[in-house]
Amino acid sequence: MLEIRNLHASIGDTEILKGINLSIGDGEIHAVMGPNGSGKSTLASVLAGKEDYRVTEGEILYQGNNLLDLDAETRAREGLFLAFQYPVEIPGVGNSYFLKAALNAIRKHRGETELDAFDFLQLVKEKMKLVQMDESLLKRAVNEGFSGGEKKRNEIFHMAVLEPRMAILDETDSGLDIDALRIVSDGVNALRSPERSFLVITHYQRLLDHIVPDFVHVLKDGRIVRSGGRELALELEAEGYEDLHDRDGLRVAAGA
Amino acid sequence: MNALTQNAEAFPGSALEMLRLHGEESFQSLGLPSKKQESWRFTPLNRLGDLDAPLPQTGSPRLEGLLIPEAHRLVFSNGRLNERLSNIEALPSGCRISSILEIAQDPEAEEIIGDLLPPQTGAFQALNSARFDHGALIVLEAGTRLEGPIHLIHHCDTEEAALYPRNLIMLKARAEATIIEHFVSTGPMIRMPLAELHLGAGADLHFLRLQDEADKARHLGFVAIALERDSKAEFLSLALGADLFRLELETTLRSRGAEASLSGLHLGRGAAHGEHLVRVEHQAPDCSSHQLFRSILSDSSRGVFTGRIVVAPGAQGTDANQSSKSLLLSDRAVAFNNPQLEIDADDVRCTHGSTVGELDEEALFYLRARGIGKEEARALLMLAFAGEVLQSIGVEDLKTRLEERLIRRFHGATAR
Repeated sequence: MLEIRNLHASIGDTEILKGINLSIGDGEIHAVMGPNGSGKSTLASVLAGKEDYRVTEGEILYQGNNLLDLDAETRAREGLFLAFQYPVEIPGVGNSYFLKAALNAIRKHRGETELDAFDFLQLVKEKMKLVQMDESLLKRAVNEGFSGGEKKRNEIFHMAVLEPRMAILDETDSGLDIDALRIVSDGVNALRSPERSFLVITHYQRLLDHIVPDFVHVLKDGRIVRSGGRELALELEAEGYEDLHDRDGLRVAAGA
Repeated sequence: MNALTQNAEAFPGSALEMLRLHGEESFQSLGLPSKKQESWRFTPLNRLGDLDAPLPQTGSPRLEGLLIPEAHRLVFSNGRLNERLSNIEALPSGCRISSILEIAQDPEAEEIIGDLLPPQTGAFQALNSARFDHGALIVLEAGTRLEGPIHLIHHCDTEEAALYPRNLIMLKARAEATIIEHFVSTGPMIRMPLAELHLGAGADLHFLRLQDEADKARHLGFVAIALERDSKAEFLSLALGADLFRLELETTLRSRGAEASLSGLHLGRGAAHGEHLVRVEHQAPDCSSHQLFRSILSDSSRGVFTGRIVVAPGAQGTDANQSSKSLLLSDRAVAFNNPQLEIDADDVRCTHGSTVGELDEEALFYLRARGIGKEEARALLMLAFAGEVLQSIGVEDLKTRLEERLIRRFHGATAR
């Protein structure tokens, strides 16, 4: 599904990603964990096509094609989805209008017919149940005045409607209480399928109790310093990030 | 269509004749304004052109796409009333619409013409007073509620023209009406319209002023609204065209409980200059006023908003707010927003806010990351910015048409 090879990316003159290698197969869930400032969100932004970041080296293959050749909207239309860490408030643009425009842009790209208002509403009502989202949030402006939890639920709701092939969740757990975390996680789990892959970016292990990953990677100072199964997350929870050493690709024993 | 019969010759010694003489005298003594005058310092007066261009040939207006089916309609073509295209057959009793030149038939209207914008207030008000030769007189008797909007269309299809339309609108006690005034042109003419709007006690007026002139046209407008007790005016100015546009809007809240909502949207492109000058005067207690002005400026266009709130001594309980925002789509576009407050009462709630900014890059990325194309995302954000102002358009069909029109225009305005 997604193959990241020796990815280097900078903002201004500062290099943030310093050679990331990561391979995500169909239907797999990968978690990327790491301390603040390790480059987690940069990785998410680069994958989604944010132009503030400059890729200086390496490549990303998405479904066999060069992802970096595509602009942000084409990536989305090709089935890549980013659930934002900080969903943006857009006054004056209705949540429902926006989502319909997005869905139809994607459908058009796939050569499918655009959904009319009725079919769209049916689809949306079904998907709202998935994240127990109140219907009133559909009529409001995108994320405007939404609580932190509502914003994150709205992201998962968008994901449910747009049905991506590759979903990236950027710290979707931050700012969620335990109930909201469960709702969001249940929503994600309901969307798991052999054709859909996930990259779950998080600072904390607790999200991974709910969304159980196949693989866990530790990002530190712009590199993946360790990779393993879900037990790695538990280990990190117990011992923290501090003891990890910066050895690209090597498993480094964490200890005092 | 007897009421529409035009009468180009004013009656000697009539109020109209007096107004014209007064206008001519005032214009001679005032002379053209200069940039040294505070309220004219932003306006490129050198673009005014020929104020004396003769009345053009009779036009053949193309009104497709402009008409509102259910409206009572007056059409002015190249400065003349076109009776064939007008339609005021279905007016209820208690509502009169005629050419302004028929004012002598309405002594009450004749009595007050020029009261709100007398010639001595300014050179162009004077010029209009001296020269106006077309426009609408609209009178609603007490308690008259008009179904369907009144649509005034000013069409001009000649290159060179100087046009001076004038309206006098009187809504007596508890009368209600929606009026749409629509200015359309195809060439670099100059238009200097003036309108006086009187609202009696408890009257309710929605007024949409749609400036849709040619990109080379010049348009300097003057509107005054006077509100009596518990009356309500909702005034919206949409400025879509013209190389030089300026609207002076003067609102006076004369008696307790009156409410005025004034909004405007100006779209600038090319090297166009557009300006809304608003003055709201609270003369009586417990009145409220709301100002909501937006401009979207591309290329090297320039937008000016000057909004003054005056609260007279004794106007306690005033609630006045003002919001002006400009969206710059190009590095060369410039916006000036000038809020001005002059408050002489102490129990007053006055707020104002003003911002100048660019399209929100974060929002743009968010939209794109969901699959919406860059151009469409930009247009969507522009429409959202304009949306607050458009919301107040009550005629749904017209609102939809305008929104579609703006979306198309915004799609074209995305290149930096």
